[in-house]
Order: sequence, then structure tokens, then C-alpha cells
Amino acid sequence: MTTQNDTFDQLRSILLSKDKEELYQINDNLRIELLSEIEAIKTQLDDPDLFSQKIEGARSQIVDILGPVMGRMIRKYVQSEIEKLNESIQKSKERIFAKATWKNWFSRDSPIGIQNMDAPRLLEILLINKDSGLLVSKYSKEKITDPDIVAGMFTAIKSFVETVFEQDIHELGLIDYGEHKILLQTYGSYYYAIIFSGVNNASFKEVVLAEVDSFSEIHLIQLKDGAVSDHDISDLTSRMTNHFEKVCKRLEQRSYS
Amino acid sequence: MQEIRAKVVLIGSIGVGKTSLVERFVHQKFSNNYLSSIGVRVDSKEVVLPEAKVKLLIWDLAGEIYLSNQYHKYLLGSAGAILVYDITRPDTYDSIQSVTDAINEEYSKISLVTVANKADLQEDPQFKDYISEEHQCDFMTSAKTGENVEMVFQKLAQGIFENSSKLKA
Repeated sequence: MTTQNDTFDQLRSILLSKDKEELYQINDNLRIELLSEIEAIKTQLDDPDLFSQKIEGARSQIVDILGPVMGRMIRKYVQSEIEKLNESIQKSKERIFAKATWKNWFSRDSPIGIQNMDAPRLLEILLINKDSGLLVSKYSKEKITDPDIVAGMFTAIKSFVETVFEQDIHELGLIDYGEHKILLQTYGSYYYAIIFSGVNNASFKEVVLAEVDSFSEIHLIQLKDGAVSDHDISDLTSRMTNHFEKVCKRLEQRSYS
Repeated sequence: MQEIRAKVVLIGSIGVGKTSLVERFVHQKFSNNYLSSIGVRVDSKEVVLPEAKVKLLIWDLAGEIYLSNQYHKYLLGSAGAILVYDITRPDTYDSIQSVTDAINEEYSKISLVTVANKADLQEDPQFKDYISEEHQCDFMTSAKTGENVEMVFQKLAQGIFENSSKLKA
């Protein structure tokens, strides 16, 4: 018993057999034509002189076709490269003029100095009484204007920020001012103001805070009762200088940029 | 000679002349902008006493801090305070006695000096007597003429030195 599908197949075969033959013929002709065209192109490509002549002859057509597309691409590329270059120049310019005074610039003896200009540099550490703002001890690489007033102002700023945000638990941890950053780290009745220049680098911060911790654990114990004599202060200052001189040297040997 | 460093807080209402007193007393190092931005400006001046050198770290507090009663926390860690009012404005000294009492009660170790400023604007001697008798007044000063300004800080430094000696004993 034949099915409906078989019937349709037989019908299709009878009706389309002629068309099918024609289609096969066209395909064959097309294939032959295409092969001869490919052969011709291959011959032209194999012969550079002939290829050049063809290109030369079709120059205006090629320019007409490719010009707008290539132009847009080139324009975009050039624009993007100029933007990148501008950004890079701007960054370098900011870095150079913010980080280096001309004095520093000329004192650097190699291009390596320029590469490391962003690297954080420990400049100063002040140990300050949290309530009074009185300077207890300090380590300083350069002489600063009246460190007693600076300690007082840091304490005032700290107090102001903590009052404004009504923070009992959190404390002001960092003051960022241009190329200088001031880390504030509290230990009981005292806090450290750690002043450094360069980028605020997490690993640099970690090392410095670890050093401050270790110094505090050993040396701050004598201040715990709050009664600090002049002798205690002078003793602490010389210990602090010794400790952080070494830390500074170690930090300078490592690159944190 | 013994050297002492001490925090001193200058408090009083708006416009009573606190900053002018500091300017008269010290060679100002930092801009007044700090007062409007964070409400405090710190300056320092050394007072030489026969027994000791006292370096005063003077915290000049904005009048708003006094009016909003937030000055208490700035007294923490202070060895001295100067309470300033304007002799020509009763609203600045009406409550001076209660403020003085509160400070003395809360911070008994603080050396406190009360100052009636702008004395140059009040010529009536009877009125000055009234102020001295009826209100707290250790000194009548004029930041404009410099009258008694040095004396205020001398007395304060002396008080701080004495308190410090008592503590050590």
C-alpha cells in the first residue's frame, strides 16, 4: 500500500525532472566559468607586472571604494592614539610638576629617579597626645615649621571631623593633601601622624603601620600611665629616630611605585 | 630652667575679640581661614616666668562652638582656658558666671582666666566697676590698644606652672 508521501514524491519526480536537468547544466557551466576566472586571477597574481598594471588601471575605482572606509578607520585610529598620547603626557606632566621641585629634579642622578617619582616616601612621624594635641615625640627627615602647632592643628582637624560625623567608633584615618598624605593611627591616649609623599600605596602603608605597631608595643608602654617626664620624652624621641631611620632606609631600598 | 608645654583654649561668644587678642599676643603663623573652616586655629607663644618657660599652644575656638555648647570637648587635655566676653554686649557676659562654674566643676585642674575685652569702647569708670563687681572679670583688656593683653597670658602661664608643680609634688 502506497502512502500519501510516496505519491507526492512520484508526482514531483515526473513534473520537475526537466527543471532538474537544466539546473545541473547551469551549475556545470557556472563551475567551468568560475574555474577559468580563478585561473585567470591566479595567472595575474603570479605575474606581479600584470597585477600592478591591473591595479594601476583601477586605481581611481579602488580609491573610490576603499577611501571612505579606510579614511574613517585611519581617522579613528589616529584620534584614539592622540587621546592616549595626550593622557599620557598630561599624567607625566602632573607627576613631574607635582612631585619634583626643580631642585629635586636636578639632584636626581639617573632616569631611575624619574621612574620612581611616584613611589611613597616617609617624611615624618609625629606622636601626639589625643586630647591635648601636644607633641610627645617625633621622627623627622626635614625640619618643619613649629611641629607643636602642626600637632595641635592635626588634633583640631581630627576632632572636627569626628564631631561633624558624630563618630564614636571610627576615627579619621587619612588626610590627603596634594602630594602629601597623613596617616593617623591611634594607640590608647596617643596617635601617630605619619606624613608621606607619593602615591597612597597599600603595601607601603602596611609596612609602615607594622613598624609603628612594633615600635609602640616596645616603647609606648612607658607612656601608658599618662605622666610623661621631660626625660621620658627625650628618651622616646631618640628611640623613635633610631627606629625610623632604619625603617626609612629599608623602605627606600624597596620600590612601592 | 624648667620647660612646660601646655594647651590653652580661648572661648567666648561670636565677635568678642578672641582672635584679636591672640593676634595681639602672638606673631600669627597660620591663616584665620582655619577658624571658618574647622572652627579652630592653633598658635603658640612662649611665656617666660622666673621659674620656668611655658610654651602655650593656644586653641582659638570659633564663637559658634561656644554658643552651641560644644567647647567642653576642646577643654580635654587643656592646662588653661581664657573665657572672653565683650564689655559692650551684655548678651556675651550675662551667663559668664554659670559658664565659669561649669568649667571649674568639670575641669578642676584647669587654670581659668576671665577677660572683659573691648575696654577701649567703654569710658565710663562706674560701668567698669559694675562689671568687675557683678561679673567674673580677672582683666579688662583691649586688643586694639594692647591694654592688659600680656598680663592675661602671664597670669595664665603662672597658674599652669603652679598647677603643674602641685601635680609633680
